[in-house]
Amino acid sequence: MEGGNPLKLYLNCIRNTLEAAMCLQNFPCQEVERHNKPEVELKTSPELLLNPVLICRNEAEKCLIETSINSLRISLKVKQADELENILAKKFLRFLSMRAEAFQVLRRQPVQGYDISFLITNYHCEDMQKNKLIDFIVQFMEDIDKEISELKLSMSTRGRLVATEFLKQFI
Amino acid sequence: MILLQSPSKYLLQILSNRLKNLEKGVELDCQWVEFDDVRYHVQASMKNPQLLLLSLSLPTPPPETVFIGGLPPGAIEAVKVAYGAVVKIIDPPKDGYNLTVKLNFSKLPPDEENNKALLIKIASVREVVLGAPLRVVLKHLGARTLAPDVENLMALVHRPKESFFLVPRAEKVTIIFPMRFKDSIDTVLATSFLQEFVEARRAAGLNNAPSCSWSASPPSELKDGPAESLCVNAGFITFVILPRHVEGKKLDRTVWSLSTFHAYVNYHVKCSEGFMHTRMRRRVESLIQALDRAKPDSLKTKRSGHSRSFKRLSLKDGRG
Repeated sequence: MEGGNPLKLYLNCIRNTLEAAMCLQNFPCQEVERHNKPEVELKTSPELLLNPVLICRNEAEKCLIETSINSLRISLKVKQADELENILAKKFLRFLSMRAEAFQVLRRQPVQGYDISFLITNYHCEDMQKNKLIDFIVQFMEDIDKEISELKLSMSTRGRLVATEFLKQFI
Repeated sequence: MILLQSPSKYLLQILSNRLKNLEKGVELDCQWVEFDDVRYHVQASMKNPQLLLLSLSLPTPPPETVFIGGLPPGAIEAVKVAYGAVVKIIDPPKDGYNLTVKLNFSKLPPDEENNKALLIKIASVREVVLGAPLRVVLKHLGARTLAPDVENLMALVHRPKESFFLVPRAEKVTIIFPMRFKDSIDTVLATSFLQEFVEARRAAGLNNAPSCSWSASPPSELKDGPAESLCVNAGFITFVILPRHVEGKKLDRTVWSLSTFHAYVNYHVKCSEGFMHTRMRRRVESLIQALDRAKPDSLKTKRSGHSRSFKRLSLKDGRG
């Protein structure tokens, strides 16, 4: 469709899915009076949930979008090709989770099997512009991808420099 | 600073300060710890301002290393050769230390330059003491001979309860470092750094550097080594030192950089972690900004302005 960049295609697919999924409305709990909780988390009644969508770029990178009447949950699995990437990803995501308050839409605990989760409720959609919110999610994914590969590159550059300086002493 | 420096900066500062203010002769008693659990203790009294007691404690040696009288073999001779008349070894050393020496400032060389060089040398006491056995082996390598009564596999202490190994031969010395790290993240970063050593050695400019190799399993030279020294989490790195690496002035630098190799790698691992954290923090901030952009402008201005959702009632309103 648009160029051969697989990351772009993956992100486009997520963007389109989010645009379709993000039509949330206020919906008080059906069972408990004066409760208004994200249905995607509580799963009290099946008629309020939609089918979850799983978008995979490959086996290691995937994105699960679960939707309900008043809330939406996005869970991401970030690529971790080797141990170094695994550590970088873990560290970075831990950094983000520690600042979950500043992020509002970030869920403190990722859904099982994923690295990071977002929970978007109808209140978030009322506070923020929907398309900008989607922009944020997509930028977030792009940034994580970029950050991890840049960090990895800088680690190996640094390692090379450290090794070269050490070996130079003997010449 | 990329490379570790052998003179202890703090010790050097103490010594030169002391020398500058010799006539004031204040009481001095301080102790500190350096990397790899090397501890120093400096004492000087008001009565004899010319004298200064310097005690050094070394990392605890593992069972496979040879220690003679609490010091690596050859250390006493090395101290005597390096410092001459300025330093007198006190036997037995201060309680809790491996070596105590008495420095006599009145015996320092008179000219400024030699004076300074000797102070730097004294500040490098750790290199002289801990590197003594390595220096003996490498010195013989320089002459292409084998040191007398040298074993097939020598263990030298470089960290508390950890040692590295030497396989001395007349024409080359193989040095093997079993690499261990406490933290799992350190281990991964260090492993990738160690592999870079092998890669870097292949670069064109480093053809004359010691050849180095990394392996996850113990190299064949260590087959007869003690079992506990073979359990590592970041593999084994091997350097082959040839006579050209220890020619003339290079000997000192080679001894120092090999005996602090683990500290060097560890230092850079920690530095890169710090760098990583700074970068991540910055990235998180930029993401927060991206999320803020999603909030409509009206919301932002409302927050900065004085907006109250309630109206204060005055007395008049109450009556009306």
